Amino acid sequence: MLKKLMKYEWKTIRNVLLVINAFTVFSTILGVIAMHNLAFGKNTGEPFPNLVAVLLFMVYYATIIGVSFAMTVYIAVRFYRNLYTDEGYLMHTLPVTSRQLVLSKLIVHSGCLMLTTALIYISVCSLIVPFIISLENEFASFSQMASALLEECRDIFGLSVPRLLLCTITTLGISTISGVLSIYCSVSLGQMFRKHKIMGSILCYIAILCLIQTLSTILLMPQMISSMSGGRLNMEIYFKSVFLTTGVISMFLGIIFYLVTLHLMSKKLNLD
Amino acid sequence: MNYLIETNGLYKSYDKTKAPALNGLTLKIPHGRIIGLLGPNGSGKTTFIKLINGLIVPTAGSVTINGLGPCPATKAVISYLPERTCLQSNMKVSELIGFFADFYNDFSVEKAQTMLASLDIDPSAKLKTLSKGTREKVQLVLVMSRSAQLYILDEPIAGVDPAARDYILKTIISNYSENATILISTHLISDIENLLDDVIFIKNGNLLLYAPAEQLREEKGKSLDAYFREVFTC
Repeated sequence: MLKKLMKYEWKTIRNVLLVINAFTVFSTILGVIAMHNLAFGKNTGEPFPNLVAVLLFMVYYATIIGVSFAMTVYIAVRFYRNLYTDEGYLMHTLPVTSRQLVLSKLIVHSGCLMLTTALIYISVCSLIVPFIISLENEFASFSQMASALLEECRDIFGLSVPRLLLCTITTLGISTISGVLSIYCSVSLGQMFRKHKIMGSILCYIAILCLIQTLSTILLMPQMISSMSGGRLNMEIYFKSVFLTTGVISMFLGIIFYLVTLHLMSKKLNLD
Repeated sequence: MNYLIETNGLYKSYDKTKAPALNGLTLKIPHGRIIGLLGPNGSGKTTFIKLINGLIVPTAGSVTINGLGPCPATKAVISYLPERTCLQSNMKVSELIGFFADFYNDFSVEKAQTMLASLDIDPSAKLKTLSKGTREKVQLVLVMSRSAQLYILDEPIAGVDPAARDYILKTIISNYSENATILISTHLISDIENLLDDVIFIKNGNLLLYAPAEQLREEKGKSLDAYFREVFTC
C-alpha cells in the first residue's frame, strides 16, 4: 500500500516539481551569462559598466530564493489539502495506516525537496565556472589549477573535498527530512485549533523554527568556543562539529516531529 | 448474533460549552439491511457516520465494525460516500477508477465503466471540468462499484436532478450483495422510504427510535415521510 500511495503522490507532485525546477534552470542560464559578463566584460568607464549583468544576477538570486520557498509552501499546502480538507475524507478512509499516509508523503516530498536543493547547489556552483575559467591563464595547466583550488578548499574548510561533499550531502539529507516533518507537524498541530486552522499551522511553524534556531545556537556555541585555539578558529574541528551537531539536532527533532504528527493523525483526527 | 456495527455510549462533543453532537448513542446494526439514518440538520447523523469511518475520534464510548474499532481492516469493508466531493479535482475519471482499483480489492472496474456509460459520463474527462451534479454521480459510481460489507451513503441524492435520482436509487439497490448493509442518511425521505428495511431517527444527538420501516408505517398509519415531519416539526 505504501508503494501505491507513493505512486499517486508522485503523479500529483511531478508536474509542480518540473515547473519549479525549470525556473532554476532558466535562472541559472541568466546567472551564468551575468557572471560571464562580470568575469570577462570590459570596463567602459561608465559608472555602472555591468548594469545588465547586475540586474540579471538579481533576477537569478530572487528566483533561487523563490524556488526554494515555493517548493516548501507547496509541500505544506499539499499535505494540508490532501489529508485535512475534503480530500482527507477519501485518504483517511483508504485501507491504509496513518503511518503509511505520512511515510508515503515524507519519502516523495523529501526526495523532491532534495532534488530541488541539489539543483540549486549545482546552479550556484555553475556560476563560479566563468571565474574559474578566467583564472586559467594564471596557472601553467588545468590540473595545476584544480589542485590549487582543492588545496584552497581544504584550507578554508579543514576537510578534503570528498569528505566535505559527503558531510554536506548527509547533513542536508537529514535536515531536509527533518524540515519536511516540521511542516507536517505544524500543519497537524494547526488542526487542533477550533478556528483559523491555517493561521494556527503558520504560528506553529514559526514557533518550531524559533525552537530549532534556539536549540542550534545553544548547542553550537560551545562547539565554536572549543574550536578556538590561540585566538584562531580551527576550521577542521569547527566544521566537523557543525556537521555533527546539525545532523544530530535534525535527526532528534525529526523523530519528535514524526511521532507528534502520527499521534495527532491517528488519535486526534477531527475532520471538519 | 454477530452485528456489523455496534456502538456503546458513543459520545462526541466538538465544543465543551455547547450541547454534544452525539450523546451516548448505543445501538447494534446487523448485516443485510437497508437502513435510513434520519434526522433534521445538526441532529448528529454526519457525526455518527464520521465516527464509523474513523474521520473523527469519539470523546467517549466506542464504535466497532465487525468487532474492530476503525482501522485499515474496517476501512477495507466500508464503502463510504461523503456529503462532499472528496476526489482530487485534477484527476481524470479513468484515473480515479484506477485509484479505487489499486486500493480496494473489492472494486469492479467493469461495473464502474458500465455505470459511467449509463450515466453518459466521459471517463477521459477531468473531474474539475464536470458539473457539481456529475462529480457527485462519479463519486457514487466509484462507491457503488465495490462489493463492500457496509455502504455508508451521506446524502447520496441531494445534489442530483430528479431524473438521475431514480437511476441512482436503482443503482444502489442493484449493486449491493444480500449480506451487505446500506446506511443512508438523507432529508429526501419520500424518495427512499420504499427501499428501507429499518429506520433510525436521531434528534439532538440522541437515538429517538430504531425500528423496522414497515412496522413503523403500520403502527403509525402513515408514511415515514409524514411521521418524520410529525416528530421533527419545528
